[in-house]
Amino acid sequence: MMNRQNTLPFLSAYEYADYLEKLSDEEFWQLARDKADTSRRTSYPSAPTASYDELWVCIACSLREARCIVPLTNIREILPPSQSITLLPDMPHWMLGILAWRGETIAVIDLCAYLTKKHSPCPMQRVTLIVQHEGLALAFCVLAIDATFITIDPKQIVLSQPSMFSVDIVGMWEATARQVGEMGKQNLFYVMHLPAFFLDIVQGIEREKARE
Amino acid sequence: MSEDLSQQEYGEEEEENTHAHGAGEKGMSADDLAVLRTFDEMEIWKTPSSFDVPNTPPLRTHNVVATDEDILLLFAAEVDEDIEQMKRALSQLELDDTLDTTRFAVLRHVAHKVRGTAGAMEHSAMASIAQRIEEIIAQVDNGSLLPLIGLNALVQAVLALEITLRDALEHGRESDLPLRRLEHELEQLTLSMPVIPVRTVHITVPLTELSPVPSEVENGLQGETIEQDTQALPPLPPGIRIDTQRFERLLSFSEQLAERRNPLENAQEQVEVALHELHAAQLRLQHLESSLANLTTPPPLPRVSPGYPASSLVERMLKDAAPYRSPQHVRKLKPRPSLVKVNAESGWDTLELERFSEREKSAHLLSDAMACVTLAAARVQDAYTHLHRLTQQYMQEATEVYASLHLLRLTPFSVLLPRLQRVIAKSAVEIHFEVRGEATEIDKDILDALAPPLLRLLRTCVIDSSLVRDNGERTETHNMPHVWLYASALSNEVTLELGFSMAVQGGALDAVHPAIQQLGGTVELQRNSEGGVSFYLCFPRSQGTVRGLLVLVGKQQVVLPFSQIQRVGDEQHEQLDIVYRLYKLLDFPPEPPPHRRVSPVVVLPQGRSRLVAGIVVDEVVCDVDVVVKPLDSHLRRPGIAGTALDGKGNVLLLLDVPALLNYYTTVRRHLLPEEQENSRVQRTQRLVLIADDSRVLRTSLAQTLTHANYETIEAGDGLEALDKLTQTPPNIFLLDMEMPNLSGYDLLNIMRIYPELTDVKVIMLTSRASDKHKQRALDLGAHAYLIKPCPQHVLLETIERLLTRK
Repeated sequence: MMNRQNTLPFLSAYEYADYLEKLSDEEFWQLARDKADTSRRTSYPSAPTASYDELWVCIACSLREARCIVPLTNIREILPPSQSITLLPDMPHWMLGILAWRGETIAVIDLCAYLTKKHSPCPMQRVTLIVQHEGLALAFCVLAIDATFITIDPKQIVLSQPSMFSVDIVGMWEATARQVGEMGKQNLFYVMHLPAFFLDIVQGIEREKARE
Repeated sequence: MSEDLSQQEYGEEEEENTHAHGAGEKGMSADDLAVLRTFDEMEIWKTPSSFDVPNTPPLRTHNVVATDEDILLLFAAEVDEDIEQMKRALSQLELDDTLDTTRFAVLRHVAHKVRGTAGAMEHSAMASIAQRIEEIIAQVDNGSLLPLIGLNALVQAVLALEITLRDALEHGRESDLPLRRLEHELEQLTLSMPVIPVRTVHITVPLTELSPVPSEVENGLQGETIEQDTQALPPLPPGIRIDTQRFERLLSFSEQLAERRNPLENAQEQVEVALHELHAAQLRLQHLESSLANLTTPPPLPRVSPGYPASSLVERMLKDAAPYRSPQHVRKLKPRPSLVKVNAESGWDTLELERFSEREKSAHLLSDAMACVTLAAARVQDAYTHLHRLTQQYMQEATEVYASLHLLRLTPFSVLLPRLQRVIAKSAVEIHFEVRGEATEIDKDILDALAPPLLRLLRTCVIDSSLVRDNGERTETHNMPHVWLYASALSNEVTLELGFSMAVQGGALDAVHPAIQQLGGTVELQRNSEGGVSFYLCFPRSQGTVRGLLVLVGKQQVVLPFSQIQRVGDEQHEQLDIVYRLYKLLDFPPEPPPHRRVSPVVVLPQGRSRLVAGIVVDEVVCDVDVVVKPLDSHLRRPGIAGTALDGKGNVLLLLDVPALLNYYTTVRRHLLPEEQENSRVQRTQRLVLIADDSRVLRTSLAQTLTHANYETIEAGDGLEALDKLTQTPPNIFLLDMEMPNLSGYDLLNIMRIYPELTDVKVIMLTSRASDKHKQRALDLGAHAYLIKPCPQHVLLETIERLLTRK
C-alpha cells in the first residue's frame, strides 16, 4: 500500500509531508530505497509537474476498455485515422511503423501494446497523437479520442500505481476521482505522461535492431 | 624466391619425404640436412596424440601430407627469411634522415608473423622477442618512444631473434638468454625513455584566393598545407567565395523545392481526374437534356372527330379552317403546340397548358445551363492545360536549380593529389605514381569523407612488406613499382581504380570499406595485369536525388536504387542461382500470392560472383526520382539507406541492397527455421580452406586436418583465399588475420557480398588475443575465434561443432 502511495507525483508538498510523517521507519526506508532504485534504473523525463493549484488541460482517449487522460502539454497534433504507416524491419511488437510528420520521419507506437507489453491487433481505425519532447517526436496510436480539452482539478483525483497494465511503468498512474464528475460514471482512469515513455521506447526500438 | 616457386619446390620435397625420410634428403641442400638432423635429435616434435584421430584413412587432399620434420625445416627457413627482411627494413630506416615512423609498419607485420609462427611451433623465446618488437613499434607509433631510440631497440631485438634462431639450429634447443638480455636492455631503455610532448599544430590556410581549392582545403582537408603542383594539374575554373551557411540554406530551400515535385504531380493528377469526372458528368447532363427535350416535344395534334365537337364555337372555327387543313397548313400549326395542345382524354385544359409551359421553360433553362457548364468546362480545360505547362516548366526549373546547386559543391579530384603524392613520396622505395582523370568532379562532402580512408589505403599499401622484400631485386632489374589512380565518372557514379603492380599489405581494404559503405558505394579488389592488385571504389558523385525503381512488397512501397540492380525480369524466365524474397529480406509479413502470370524479379549485378541472384517483388510500379533523407539513429536498420516521400506524403524506404543481403545472409536468415534446415542439408562435405601467410602454419594445420579426415586447400594471402573461396566454397574457412593483399577483416567484409559463401563457417586463427579484435571479427561474421598457438583438440572440436551446429 505504501509503495503504491509513493508514486504520487501530484501531491502537494503539505500532503506529501503529512504522508511521510505517517510512515513507519520501515516504510520510510523502503520508500527511500524504492526512490533511489527508480532514479538509478531510469533517467526518464520528469513526471508532469503541474502545480497542484493549476487545472490540468487534457484529452481523454480510449485504450481497449481503459480510459486514459493525457495532459496536452507535449501533444503537437492529433492526426486522423487515414494516416498511412510504413513498415520498418526489426520493430518491437508495439511499434506499428513510421510516418512522415512535418518533414520528419517518426516512429508510430501502438500505445496499448506498449503498455500491456503484449501483441495487440493493429487497430485499423486509430487516432494518432504526435508528441514531441526535447526535439524528438513520436506518434502514439489510440483507439479513439473521447474528449478534447477537458480540464481536471488534481485535487479531485487520487493517484496510485497502475494495476491493469504491466508493472513499473514510469509516467503512468491509475487514478480515481474523489467525486464522479468530469470523467462521467466511470470512476477509474489512467493518467499518462507520454514523454516519460520516450527513453524506454527509443531504447526498445534500438534494442530490437541489435537483438538479431 | 617467389611464392609459387617455393610451393613448387616444397611440393617436390614433400613427395620425396612423405614415405621415407631418407628419400626426402636427396633433394635437400647440406644446410637443410643439417637443420633436419638437428631437429631429429631434439625429439620435441611429436605427432599429435592428445586428440583422438579417427583410424579411417585420410581423405584425398590437395596437398601431400607433410611430416613434422618438413614443418620444422620450413619454420627455420621462414623465420630466417623474416629476420633478413627485418634487417633490410632496419637498414633502410637507418639511412633515412627523417626516420619516417610509418615504415615501422613493415617490421611490425613481419614480427607479428614470426610471433604467430613461433608460438604455434612452441618456440616461446622467439615468439616473445617478436612480441617485444611489436611493442616497441607500438610505443613509437603512439609517441611514447622516440623513433631513434625505438630504432636502436629494434636493432637489438632483431639481433636477439637471430641469435635465438641460430642457437636453436646449432644446439637443438631454443635458448632464452638473448631474450633475457633484450628485456634487460629494454628495461633500461624504458627508464631513460623520454616522453615526447604531444604537439598540437594548427595550420590555417588563408582565405585570400578566389579559387575553390583553398576553400576545400580549409573546410574539408584541414590540418595540412597543400603543395599544389599547378603545372601538373589542369587549370581550375574561376570561382567565388561563398558563405557555407548561406549556401547550405539555399541548398535546403532547393531541396524543398525539389521535394514539391511529387506533391505537385499528385495534385495535377487529382485535377486531371476531377476534369475527367466533370466531363463525364457533362455528358450525362447532355444525355439527360436530350431525354428531357424528347419528353417536352408535343405529340401530334389529335384529330378532332366530327362526333366529338368540343363546342359550337370550336365546331364553327374548325369548319372555317377546313380549307386550310392541307398538310402544308398543318405543319404551320406545329410550332405553336402550347397554344393548340389538346388532351385527348381530358379535352381542353388551361392548367395543363400552364404546366406544359413550365416544363418547356425548364428544358430551355437546362439547355442554357448546360451551355454554360460546357463553356466553363472548356475554360477549365484551357486553364488546366496552361497550368500543366507552367507546372511542368516550374518543376523542371526547380530540379535544375537543385541539381545546379549540387554542382556548386563539386570539387575536382585533383585537390587530393598533393596529399596522395606525399604519401607515395614517403614510401621506402621509389614508386612510379600515375594519375588519370584528376579533373573528375566529386561532391565536396563525399571527397572530405573519402580523403582520410583513401590516404590510409594508399599509405597501408605502399608501406608493404613485400615491396621492401623485393626491393633489391627490383632495383637491380630497374623494375620500379608502379601505382596508379584512375578516376572516371558516369552519370552520378564515380569509379576510382587504385592499382598496385605488387602485392600489398592486408588490411588495406578495411581502411576504406566503412567510409565507402557509408557513402552507399562498393569496393572491389582484383588481380591486375601487372601481377598486383587493384582496388575499385564506386560511389555516388553527389548526394542529390536518387533514381530508382519503385516496387511493392505487400502493400508497402520501397525504392531500389538503379545503381544496385541490373535489370527487371520474370522469375519464371530468368535463370537465377539464388532467389531472394523481398518480404523475407525485410522481415515483413508475407502477403498471399497474387493471381497473375508474371512474378517480377529484380536481377542483381553479378560482380565477381559466379552466381546470379535476384529479388522477387510483388509488383514493379515505376521509376522514380526521390530526395532521400537519413533516418534518425534509433530508426536506422541494416539495408535501409534512408527514406523519401511520395506525392501523397507516404514514407518510402530506400534500400541499400548489398547491405540488406549481407544482413540477411549473415544474421536474419539463420533465424529462419526452414533456412537452417536447408543449410544443414547442403552441408555434406568436410572441406577446409586454410588461409595463412605462414607456410609453416598452413602445412602444420593441413597435416592435422588431414589426419582428422578433412580435405584441405591452402591460400598464402587474402586474394588467393578469395579466389579459392569463390572457386570451391569450403565448409570451414580457417582464416589468419594478417595476410598480404587482404587481411582477415577484409575477407570477412568481402565474403558477405558473395551469396555462395553464406554457408561457409569462418574460424579466425590468429595471435591477436585482445577482446576488441575478437569482437570485431565476430561482428563481421566470424563463427569462432581461436588464438595461436591453438591446441589441436580445440581446433578440431571447434570445426566439428560448427559443422554439426544446428
